[in-house]
Amino acid sequence: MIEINNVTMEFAGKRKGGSDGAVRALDDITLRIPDGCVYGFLGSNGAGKSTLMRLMCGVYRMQQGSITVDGQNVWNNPAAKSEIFFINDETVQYADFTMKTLAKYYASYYEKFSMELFNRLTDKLELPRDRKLATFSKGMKRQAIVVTALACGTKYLVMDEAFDGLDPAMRKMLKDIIVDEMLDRGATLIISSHNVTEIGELCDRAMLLHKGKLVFDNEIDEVRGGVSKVQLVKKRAAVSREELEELGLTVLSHSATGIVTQAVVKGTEDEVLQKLTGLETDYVETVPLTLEEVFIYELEARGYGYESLSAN
Amino acid sequence: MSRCRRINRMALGEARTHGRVFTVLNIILGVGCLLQCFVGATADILDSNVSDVGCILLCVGALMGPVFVVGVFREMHNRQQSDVVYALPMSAGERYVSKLLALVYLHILPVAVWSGIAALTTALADKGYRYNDWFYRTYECFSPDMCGKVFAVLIAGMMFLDAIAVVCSVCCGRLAEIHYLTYLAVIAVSAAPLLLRAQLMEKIGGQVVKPGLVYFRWTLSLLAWDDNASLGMYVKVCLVNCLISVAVMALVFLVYRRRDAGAAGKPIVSRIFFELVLACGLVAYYALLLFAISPAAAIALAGVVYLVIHIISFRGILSGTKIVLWTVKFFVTTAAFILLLWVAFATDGFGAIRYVPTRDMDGACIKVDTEWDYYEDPRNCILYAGPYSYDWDTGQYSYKANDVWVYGMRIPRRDVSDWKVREVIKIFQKYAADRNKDFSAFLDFFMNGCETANGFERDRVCTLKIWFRGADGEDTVMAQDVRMTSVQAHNMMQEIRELGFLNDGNTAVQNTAVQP
Repeated sequence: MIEINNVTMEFAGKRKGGSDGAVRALDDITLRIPDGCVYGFLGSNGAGKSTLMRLMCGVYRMQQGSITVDGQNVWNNPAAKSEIFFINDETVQYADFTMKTLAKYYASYYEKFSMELFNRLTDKLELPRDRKLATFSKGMKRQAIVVTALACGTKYLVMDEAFDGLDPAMRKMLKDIIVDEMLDRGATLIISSHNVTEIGELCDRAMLLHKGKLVFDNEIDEVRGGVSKVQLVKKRAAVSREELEELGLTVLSHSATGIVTQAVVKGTEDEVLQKLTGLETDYVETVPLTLEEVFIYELEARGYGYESLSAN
Repeated sequence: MSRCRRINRMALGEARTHGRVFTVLNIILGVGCLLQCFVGATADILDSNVSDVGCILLCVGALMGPVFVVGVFREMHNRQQSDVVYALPMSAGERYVSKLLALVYLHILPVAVWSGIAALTTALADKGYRYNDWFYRTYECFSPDMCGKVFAVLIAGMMFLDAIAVVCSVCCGRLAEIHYLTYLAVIAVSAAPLLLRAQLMEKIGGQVVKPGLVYFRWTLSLLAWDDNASLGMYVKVCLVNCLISVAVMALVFLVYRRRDAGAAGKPIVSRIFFELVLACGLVAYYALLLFAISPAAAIALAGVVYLVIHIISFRGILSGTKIVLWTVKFFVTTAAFILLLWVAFATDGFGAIRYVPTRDMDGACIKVDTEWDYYEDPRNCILYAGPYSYDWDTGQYSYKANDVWVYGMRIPRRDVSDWKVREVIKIFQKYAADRNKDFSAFLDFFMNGCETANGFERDRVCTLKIWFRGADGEDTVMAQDVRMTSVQAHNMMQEIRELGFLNDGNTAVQNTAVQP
């Protein structure tokens, strides 16, 4: 299990005029990533997903808080790091490698490196062994790195926007390979992506970061079920946001057209309907939300919506 | 798997990723080695123009260190690489040691092996510096002794450059800064101590040059050469220099272990390092140019370079405040250097003016020169004694083993005793220390230096030069140049002449000693 406790991370920054000003990338994050699951990192651009991943893999030094992998601190700890493989969103760093040299390179660092698995997957994906990765297509480069990562035999595979920029067929192929291999050995996949639908399909659990703060961390089903979209019709007038909040509902979004009110509120369908019984309405309907909608409404509620951003 | 084996495996893994540069290096070294071996073995067949290309290629290979260091420590300046390297299962210590070991495999070992083969082959052929009486040809190649010296210097120089490159790679986060600061640091570190000593002590207090003392400091690893030093001394000192280079690399780990991927991309990671290199560079520059060109021009030029380096390395949003701050810092450093110069001036080069060699100077050669116009008053011009001939063109002394013949007269060689030499030194140093040391004299010195007193009619640059060869065969040269007034110079020469054993420079027997 990966345990993230009260992690705060700041980067030194420069304000106009040259004065120093620290940028807080992560603010008191606490998380548990259980073994054997596929965990999704969601968040707006610059929310701190990549920073958190780098901290988990020992790429960044911890400033405040702690991150442990199976009870061991990650930073500067080869034993803990030998259980994690990190794939970032670039492939340029492997440009000079061939599949052969890539395997040799990682085999010298990861004791559990399986040449058999590496060869099998390379053959399966028909990746040329003696050509430099610089000559590969983007999808092939990704495949090469994923094959290497899987061959390293780590318990945790951390992928930062690793599928971004790939075509749907390639994404599916890579996901299938990863999931098959990882699930076979009970490993954990931690993945960040801007494609919320993909996270929704692939992951068991997900968390949402916004401006370095944790918005939620839950099972995907519970995340979806934890927010409901409600349509209300009340004679003569629409239902105001305040009226809904007086009923004990947390309103993420509210809009009204004539006598029809639409609101996105926190809570399961049953909880919401029960609370709405206190309101004399002519018609009530709850609509299930997709993960993408949850993402959008959660961020909108925190001032990250189109209207808020364009108003700024 | 033991830790050592693990680190070795990682080092080999790292080394394998630099195959291309490694191949280039080995081609350069291999060709250099073969050429040197060929020349070394056939020098007596070839004519006098024996080529040095082999040796030059070996030197080029030895100086390729920064290329390898930058490649091996690529995570220091490349964000993408830092994601890969820092995520690998290694502690900072293991990573650092494995990288240094990779550097050994990639650069140090090939240079040592190829140049070792070249040195050994040339030494065994033993064709160096022989005279072929047949055709009255001479051919110059490396003697066995010379081979050993060149090999020792090559290795020490390579280690020095690699150590500086490692320091810069670890203390900087951008490729540009790593490169230009490496070369700046090599020049500054090499030149600053030597030049600072030259300005603060030798310019004011005089100098004592002994073989192996000046050119064999670690900072001068790239310049270490002295024809007179023995092979044993070379090996000993170069070995010490190599160990210091290793110690410097080990010391840099203190910075390395504190770094993470966040520092990659920051031009300067260690501010102390940056300020140190700049201050060092500035001091070396001043020491070199302050008296060579006008001080105002030297300072202005330094200021421009200093600001440009700051602007390039800053990369942030420039502001007037920043530029003013850097300018202030520049003037503070400059003022500190001038202050140090003034302290050195006021304290007679930190007491260096009173230096007297401890070795026995029996049989030394002495020259006292006041730069006086010979036709004006030859008695105040030059006093000379000693059993050596002096080449006025090259400034070299050579020992005259036998008696000297002047105008058909046989002049017996006579030694000047240690006591007599010390008497001359005592008188010279007394006048030297009594010279004017007030602020106006300092400004005069600052603007014109020591040697350029010609524009000041009342002043003379007086020189005391003593050369002697010790029982161990090593030469020692003591030289003091001091500006003093004409009156002081006249009195000093009078007092020295009264000792009675030095000749006037215009006498026919100027190159021989006479009895007191």
